[in-house]
Formats: sequence, C-alpha cells, structure tokens
Amino acid sequence: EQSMCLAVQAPNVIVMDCKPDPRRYTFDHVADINTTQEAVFGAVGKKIIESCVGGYNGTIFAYGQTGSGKTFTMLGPLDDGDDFRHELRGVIPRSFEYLFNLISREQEKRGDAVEFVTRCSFLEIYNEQIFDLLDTASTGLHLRENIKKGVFVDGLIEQNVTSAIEAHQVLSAGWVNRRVASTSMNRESSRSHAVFTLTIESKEKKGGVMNIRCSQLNLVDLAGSERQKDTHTAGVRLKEAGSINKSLSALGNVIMALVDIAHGKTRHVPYRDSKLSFLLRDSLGGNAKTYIIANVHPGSKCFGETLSTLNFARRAKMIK
Amino acid sequence: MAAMYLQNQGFEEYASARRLSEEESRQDPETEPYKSKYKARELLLQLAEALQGFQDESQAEENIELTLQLAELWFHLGVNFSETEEVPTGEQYFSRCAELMQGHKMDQRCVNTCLNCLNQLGILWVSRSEPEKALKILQEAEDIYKMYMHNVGQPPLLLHELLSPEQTGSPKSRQAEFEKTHTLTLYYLAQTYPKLGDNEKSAAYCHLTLSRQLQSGHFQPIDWATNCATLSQYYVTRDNFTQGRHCLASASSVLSQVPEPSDETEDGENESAREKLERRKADISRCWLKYCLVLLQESRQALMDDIGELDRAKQTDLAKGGAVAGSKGSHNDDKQEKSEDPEKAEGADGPGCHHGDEKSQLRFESLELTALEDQVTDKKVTDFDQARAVFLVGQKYVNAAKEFYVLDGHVTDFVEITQDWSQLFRALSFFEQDFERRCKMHKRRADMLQSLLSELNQQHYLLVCRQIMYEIAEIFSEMLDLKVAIAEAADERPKVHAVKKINSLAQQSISHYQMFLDSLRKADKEMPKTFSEDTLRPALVANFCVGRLYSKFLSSDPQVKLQNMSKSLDHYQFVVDYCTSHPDIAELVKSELEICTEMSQLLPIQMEKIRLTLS
Repeated sequence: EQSMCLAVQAPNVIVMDCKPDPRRYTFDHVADINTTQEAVFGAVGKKIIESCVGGYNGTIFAYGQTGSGKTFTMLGPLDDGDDFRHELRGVIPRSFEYLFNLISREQEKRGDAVEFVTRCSFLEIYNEQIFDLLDTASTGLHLRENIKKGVFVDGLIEQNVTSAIEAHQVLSAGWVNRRVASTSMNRESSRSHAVFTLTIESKEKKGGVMNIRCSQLNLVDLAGSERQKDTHTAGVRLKEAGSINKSLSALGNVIMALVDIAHGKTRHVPYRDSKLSFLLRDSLGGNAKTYIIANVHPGSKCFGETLSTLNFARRAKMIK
Repeated sequence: MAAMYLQNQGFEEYASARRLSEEESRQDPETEPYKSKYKARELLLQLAEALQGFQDESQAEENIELTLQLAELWFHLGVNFSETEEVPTGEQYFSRCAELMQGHKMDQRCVNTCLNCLNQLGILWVSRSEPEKALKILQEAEDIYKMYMHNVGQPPLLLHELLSPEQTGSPKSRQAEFEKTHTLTLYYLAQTYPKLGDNEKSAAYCHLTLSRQLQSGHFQPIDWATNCATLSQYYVTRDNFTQGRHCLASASSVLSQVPEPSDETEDGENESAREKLERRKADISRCWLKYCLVLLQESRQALMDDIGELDRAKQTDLAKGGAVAGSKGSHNDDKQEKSEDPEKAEGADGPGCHHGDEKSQLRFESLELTALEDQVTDKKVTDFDQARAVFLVGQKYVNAAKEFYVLDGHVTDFVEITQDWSQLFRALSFFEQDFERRCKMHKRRADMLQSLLSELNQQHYLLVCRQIMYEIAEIFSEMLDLKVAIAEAADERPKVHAVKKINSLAQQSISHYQMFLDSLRKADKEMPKTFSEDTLRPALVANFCVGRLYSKFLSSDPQVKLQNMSKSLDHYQFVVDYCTSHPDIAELVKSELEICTEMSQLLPIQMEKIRLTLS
C-alpha cells in the first residue's frame, strides 16, 4: 500500500504534498483516479477533433514518466489482444470514432458537394531518427522541408482509411511493430516518441470553384519524461531549474540559455530543432490547437518525477 | 608506520577500489547498478579507518602527508556516495575533505584535490537551489587556483597520485589536469551566475571557458565556433558590438581552419560531415548578418533619440565614435562612458582582475583576427556612408548564408534570411537623405518579399506568409508616403504620372493588407467573430491602415472620391464595432481606435457634403 503525495481539487486544481508548503497547480482540467476514459476524451479530444474537421491543425501530447499512464490514456489497456473497442479504450480510439462520426454527419448535410479523404501515418522517433511504424523494415527516414509540402517525412507510408475500424487496424499494426522494434532492435519505447497522424482532406465545390482544405491531427505519445536526462532523447526542452551540467559538452546549452533570455528576433541561435519539434511545427502555431495531457503517478515514491512533470506542464501552459 | 601499511596493503586496496568504481561498475547488472561501487566504498572506508589510526602516532611531517591522504580519501568517498544517489552523505565527506585541507591549500600534493572538492560542493549547492552558497565556494576555488599559480606554480599532483605507490604523473600531465579542473570551476561559475540573475558575468565566464579550451587545444572546432558565434549573439542583444564582433571573428577564424571533410557517410542527423560544416558556416554568416542588422538598427535608434532631444553635443560624441560598454543601462547611459574601457564596466571582481591588462581577458589572444574584425565597424554609425559600409557587409553574409540555406529544402531558414535582408535595407534607408533613392530601397524590399511570397504554400507556411504580406503592405505604404512627400516638396500640383504612381502604391498596399486579412478568415470564408490573441492587434491595425490608405487616393472625380471614402469608412467602422463588442481589448489599439472613432463620425458628414454638390 503506497502513500500518496497528490490530492485533486476538482475540477482543475491539483495539490502536491511538498515541504514546507504544499504546492497548488491549476490547469484547464484535472482528472483523478476515478475519472473515466470517456471523460478524459470529452475534456481533451472533442474540441480538437471538431476544429480539425473545420480545417485547423491540432496536436495532443501525452507527457509524463514511464509508468504514469501515458499509453493507457492515449490508447487504453493493451492486453486484450489490442482490441480497441472496449470500455477502457483511450483518447486515440475515441478520436477515430468521433472524427468519422463528424465526417459522416458533414457528408450527410452537404451531400455531393463535399468529399472527405482521410489518411493516416504512424512513426516513431528514437535517438533523433525517424522510423515508419507501418513498415516493418523501416530504417531511418529523412525529415525534409520543401515549398510544396512544407515539413514532411520522406517516404512515410500513408494509409487511406474510411472508418474508425480501419484506423484502429492501422494503429494496431503500428503498435505491434513498435513493440517488436523495442525488443529486437533495442528501440526502447520509453525512450522514443510515437506520433500518429491523421490527415483530413476535404474537397468542396462551391460556385464552380474547387476548395481543397487539409488539416492534420497529431496524437503524440512522448518518451518517458524521466528520460529527458538521457542525451539521446530530445524533443521537449525541459530545463531543470536546479542543476548544473557537469560536462563541458553542454557549454553550448549554457550559452544558448543566455541568448534565449534575451528578446526577439535580434539574434540567430545556431542550433537544430529536435526532429519532433520540426515535424510538428505546422501544428504548433497559428491556427492550430494544442493540448498536453500530463500524466502523473500519485505515489510518494514518484514524487520527484511528478513534481518535474507538473512544473513542466505549468510552464508549457505559459508558452504561446 | 603508516607508510609501511600503505606500501604493503593500503595502496593496493586503493587501486582495487578505483578499479571497482571506474571499470567493474560498468558491468554491473541493471538490477544491482551500484554493486561495484558499494564494494569500492567498503575498501575506501577500511583504508580511511586504518589511516586515521596511524594519525595520532606519527611524526609532524609524516602527519601532514597522512592528513592529505585522508583528505583525498574523503573526497573519493564523497564522489562515491554522490554517484550512488546518497548525496547528503556525499556532501558530508566533501565537507570533511575541505576542512582537513584548511591550511594546506597551497600544498602541491593536494591543491588539485582541493579544487575538485570545491567544484563538487559548488554543483551540489546549485542543485539544492542555493546558488549564493555555490558561488562563494566556486569563487574560493577560483582564488585558490590563481594564488597557487602566482605563489607556487609547481604542477600539482594528479588525483590518485597521493594514494599510489609510484608517482605516475609528469609535469606536463599534471599541469594539464590542473588546468582542466580550473576550467571546470569557471564553467560551473558560468552556470551559477544566471541563477543569481547575473547574465553578464555568466557570459564573461563562458568566454573564459572558451578561451581556455582554445589554449588547451582540447576542443572540437566546429562546436567551439558554434558556441562562440552563439555567445556573440548574446553580446549583440546587449549592444556590446565590440565583444560581439570579436566573438564572430573568432568563430569564423576557427571554422576556416577546419579542413574539408572527405567522408561522405551520414551521421545520426542524416547529414554528412561536409554538409554539417557547410551548415555551420552558414549559421555563422547568419550571426554576422544579425550583427550588422542590429548595429544599423541601434544606430538609427540613437540618432532618432537625438533628433528628439536636439542635443548637438551628443551628436558629436556619437560621430567621434563613443565606445559602447556592455553595461545593463540603456544606450543613453552608454554615451556618457565613451572614453572608458568597455571591459571595466564588467565589475571589479569579474574575471578582469587577474592579469594587469584587463582587455586581454575578453579576447582570444591566440587567434589572428585583424582582417575579420576590420571588415566592419563596432561603433554605431551616424551617416549614410558608414551605414552603407555596414549594410554591404551584412548583404555579403546574406548571400553566404543562402548558399547553404536554399529555398527549396530549407524554407523556414531562407524566409528568415530574406526577412533580415529586408530589414537591413529598411535600416539603411533611414540614413539615405534623398527620398527617391530611399524609395528605391523600399522597392527592392517589396520585390524580394513578393517573389518569396509567390513561392510559398500558404497552407503550410501560413504564419510566415501573413508576416510577409503585412510587411509588403507596410512597405508600399512607406513608398506612398515618400512619393507624396516628394510631390509636396516640388511645391506644385503632382504631375499625371506621379498621381498614377501614388494611386498604384496605395492600391498595392491595400491589396496586401487585404491579403493578410483574408488569411484570417475561417473555413467558411467569414471573418472570425473574435480574433485570437496573436492576430488581434495586426488585424485591427490592418483595417485601420486600409481605412487610412483609401483616403490617400488622388482623384478629381467626386464619384471616385465617394467610393473611396465609403470603403475607408467601412474599415474604420470595423475597428469601432469590434472594440465595442470586445471592450476588454480596446487598450491594445487605443490610439488607432481614437482615430477610427473620429473618422467614423467625420466621414459620413464629408460624404454627405460631396453628395450634395453632385445632386
């Protein structure tokens, strides 16, 4: 029986049992151990899916230490032979259902005037290398940027899907590949980011003009946050407030931190965005909607990591 | 007695402990990661106990050696406990070590250990969010190094030598390790200062760290150059152009010495060594570009402030080229310090109290930089010729950067470079007295941005397209104002082709603001009822500008005038209506709203007057 270090004050406050004083964190929504998967989806998923069908990009991130429930939140329990139809299915399967629901309603309303095409892809970023989870033989793919396509992964498989069930199948296949890669190729899933992307294209004929709109929904299962200290896991820049980097190899980071504090565009910082940040760039600014689900384990043993996750989430709230 | 013990047993125990800790621990299983380190700990504790036993029995001189050996053991135990996540205990051992070394800090046998110990304590206190404590400790380490080098100088023993049967170090290896330890002290200081809010000191210590890397030869040139160029950007944002230029020149110099890589294999970033070098060179070009741009912008700002103050004295000072100190004050303060050595502004106890010649502290002495530094000034410019010289250097670096950052493949980077280039022209135009020539510069800007815009896919580059549309609209507006001023200066009614030009510019400005506004529309082509936070002000200001632009059309036809006034009114009204339905945001567009409100009342009256003349 573990002791707890967290208390939830519905609907949007979580309190950490810190010494000398407990710390309060306020978020858009806080879910406790009794919150259902359905409720989580309602809080996070619905609005984003609606805006995606409306033509805007969106991203949902799951962040937290390994074992805090990211995968459960995003996918659901995985023991039932990867059946994504049961009660405890997570955000991603519910997103499929809701999305195709909305699409068929739109289709009904507008008839032949509009046509929807949905594609999905599933990739993994490990050690700053990109692997296609829909291709069992995948060896690192290149992240490119060109004028026509924007930022894209060269050679990534995109599967057309017409229903929630088909999307589930793609997800399952990819997930199996991820587990296989984890054991046979040592691509430990706690150290990699998984990105499932749904691209929704709508072709609409209005007054003799063909209107093509394209929007993307990215569902990201981030690498375990405790792994941020590993030099290989980049993607979410978490700056530890209290630590000194012992090795001179991090001198660049120290200098960059000085420049970051300075304002605006009057400087150029020569560093490369992590693959994840670059890949999601289109989906993280402007008209796009972003949600971060921070998963925390309430047990006292996980105090340090939980504190770290909550602090990160609070900072993320302040970033525009 | 102790010596014999060590010879027969002690040294071996220590060697075993070291082997366990450094080598065997790597093979420890995941389930028992500290197995070897725990074993090492036992040996160290045993050894320490034995030595403590001997301490009371020994002679004075032998006693000192024993004391130092114990101190070093405490240090290694401190490391051991820290590495096995028992930090509080580790701290106790480090403290014991430090205590024991009191009065022996200048001893060649232990000064290296002493510094290592203080470094560890510094790191520890920062991790406990007590940077003030850490600072004191690290400063002590810095002082001990300086004092030792000044007063003693003999290369101190390496770590482990005191506890080994033979002296394994040579003067060279000992000095090298001592220098490394000191460099780490400086590096940790660089990291501690920001936590105390002192970025300036941090930058100075980063500079020092870079300098020592250069001296020691232990550095990777591409990384070094990149770090140095990044540091230059810190100085550029602080208006310290002298320091910024020096870092840039140094970065360029070091990078130019890197030989052409032959290996084409790609690394983890899917980039070959050659590509990586090319990219870094391009990045440094972009840093130079920012330098030139900010220098021109700051020069412009200084002159504008002066024009506001009409202070002749200050203008002459500027012309003489007052040095810009890197202090925290505004640039107005800097003008007073014109004759002071810039580095003196860093503070008396900064790294500049080491040698007699303070200036050398913040320069990389070993590099030949004259040509690179002489290519551009580090003083703010005050006239067109000076400005143009800086502009040309900036433009050179634009082209250099674009050799690697081509549009297709590096869209984002290419766009930023082009935007900088546009700003470079804009800054230069301020110094051009002749309006026609000024107008031509703006035309260059409009051309390069329009051509870029036509290439970009709005779907993927929405944010950037909006920025460019807005900037183009502003440029045409600027050109319009210039043409009007030229016509007015001619003191006669504008000729036909001038009228055409003015109207055309107004139209182009309007159409680009409109493009920008259209990009904000929702999927159903309607304007959003509420703008998002980042697009709110630009959207309202754009409407305001369009309203204003419609009044700039020159026409003798009253019908045309009415149409333009009507469109003008629509846009002013939009702003008024939006602010009415969103009263909380009115502050953001206060001055524009005032004018819009006024015009929305005036225009209908004026329009009515014209209609009356027509009927």
